Amino acid sequence: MPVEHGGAADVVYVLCLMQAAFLLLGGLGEVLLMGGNPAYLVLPVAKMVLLFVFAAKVVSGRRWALVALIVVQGITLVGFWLQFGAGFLPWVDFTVNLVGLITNVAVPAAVVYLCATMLVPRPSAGEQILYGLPVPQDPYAPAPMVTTATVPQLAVPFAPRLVVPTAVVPSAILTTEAACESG
Amino acid sequence: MNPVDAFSVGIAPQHVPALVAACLLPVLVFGVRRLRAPGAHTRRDLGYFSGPGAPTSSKIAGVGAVRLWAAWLLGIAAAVHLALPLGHYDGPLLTIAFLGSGAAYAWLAVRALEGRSWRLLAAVLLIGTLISYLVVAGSGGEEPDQVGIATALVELAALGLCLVPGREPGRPRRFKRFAGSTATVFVTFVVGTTIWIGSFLAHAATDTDASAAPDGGVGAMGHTGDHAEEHDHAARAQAGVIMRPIADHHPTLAQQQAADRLAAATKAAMKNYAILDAAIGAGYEVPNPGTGTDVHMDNKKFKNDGRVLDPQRPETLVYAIEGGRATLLGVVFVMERAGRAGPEPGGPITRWHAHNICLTLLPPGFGIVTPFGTCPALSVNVTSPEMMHVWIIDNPSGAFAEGLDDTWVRAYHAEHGRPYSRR
Repeated sequence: MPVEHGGAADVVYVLCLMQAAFLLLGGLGEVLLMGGNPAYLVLPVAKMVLLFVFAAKVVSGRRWALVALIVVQGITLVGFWLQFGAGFLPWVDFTVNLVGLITNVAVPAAVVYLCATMLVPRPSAGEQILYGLPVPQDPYAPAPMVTTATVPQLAVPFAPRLVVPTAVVPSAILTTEAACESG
Repeated sequence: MNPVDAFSVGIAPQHVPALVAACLLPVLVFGVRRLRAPGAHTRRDLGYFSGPGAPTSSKIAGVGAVRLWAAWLLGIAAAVHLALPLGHYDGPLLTIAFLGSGAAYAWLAVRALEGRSWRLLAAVLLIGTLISYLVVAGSGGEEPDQVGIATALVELAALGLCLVPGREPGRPRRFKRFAGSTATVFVTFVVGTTIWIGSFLAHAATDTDASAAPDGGVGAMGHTGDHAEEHDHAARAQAGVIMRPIADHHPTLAQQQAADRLAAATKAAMKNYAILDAAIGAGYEVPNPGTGTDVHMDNKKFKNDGRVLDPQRPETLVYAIEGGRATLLGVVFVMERAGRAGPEPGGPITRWHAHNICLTLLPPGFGIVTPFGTCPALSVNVTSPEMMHVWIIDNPSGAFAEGLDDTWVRAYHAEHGRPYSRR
């Protein structure tokens, strides 16, 4: 899968780095609260590594990494709504705040969206015509057939370009022009 | 607490204009684009699908996703900074600083969108802004609120885009990418930690203010009545503590008397549990680990007895247990159902709070939700039922303070601790 420089993959990478930092922060907070037991760091660090690997592979252009990231972020999104539902239980509540919405909903949703955008193949030229999209142009393709030809310009500054019908241009001139362009 | 209250509880009123400005930014951008020449930039123009098929006529055509995201993030930071002086007037110097940084962010957003160089200048500005914010928040100058933290998040994301260079075919730039990635994680971690510390400092400051009464009477009850702003800080949902906002920070005489009565009744009733063995006999359970300066012992029977704020049957006792001796410090009244507001006989003096915590299963444990609103992997974020401390000892922070000073507790425990036999 070709990866575009400065494209969505780089944005996904940075968002995943931030999520990794959130995990590290949460893990260390829990370790401190649980009397310094490092066992509480195992899962956060494992998920951090997983996120980092997936994000790096996305930048490398691996399709499986895109799918894996969509799954991981999907789990995060589903988890948020499950917690929201659990908040209706009598014993616990769930607090929704601005930052929580950004980190638990907006960021995973953005990663899913960007990965999905990269995962879906771009429409072919035929599909683009079908859907009214502009057709990609190959810059190295031969020029289209023309019905007029441009007479080679003399070295006169600001001289107007003269366009004459092909029929009146001597074939010798056209041949010379073609040779110049190719040479 | 209903969801709207819960959502708004962490937003400082003086930051509301900044939040509104950030929310209005997409509308503004949409309006500006509509006003420009017909057929001008669409999403395709902005390069989201930049490629062979994208138009190349416009100035901003071909802008990659990184530039587009950077432009939006810097634009949001600009909107927030430009709107901050509307609700946050702290003198002309700070106002000029807000406006200057806002204008600089807007300028950099336009540069990023137009395909001009932006990374270095943006990185310098972002780091400067973040450091300034952390200095204010970390020193307790201002409690970090939701708008402040959200803006820091936006700035961190933009900084990440600045620091991590894009990968190009034939130019892996491994070292630069590694350094940029490490720096992004590190800066995000440091910002989060500092905001956390700032939040705790602000809460500690609330208690200190509450105890700073010139006369022993009201101050001992944990409220001076002269620090409305400081108590406002306590109403914000950072540092894992959620408190309902209150309309009036100044208790009436009746409320002060009611709070005094509650504290006195609790103190009298708790004489029964001055010895740890008596509490264990009454059904209070020693947690694991069962030592420290704030050991919370729950009574399951009292938690489900349908009684609220009963001095005879507090749901939790708090002990200092160290060196084979125990000192009863106070009680915690806990509401039976989460999300239900507790009664406040003492008005602003007897304020309830809830804890926003992360419960983990592997291994079983709990932590506090980070300032970024996240929990460790495979954990559940829950908010506890409301609770209220009533301290039965004459601690400097007052009977209704949120917590006690650890050093003070150790000294008190050394003097008043009583031996116990059972565990």
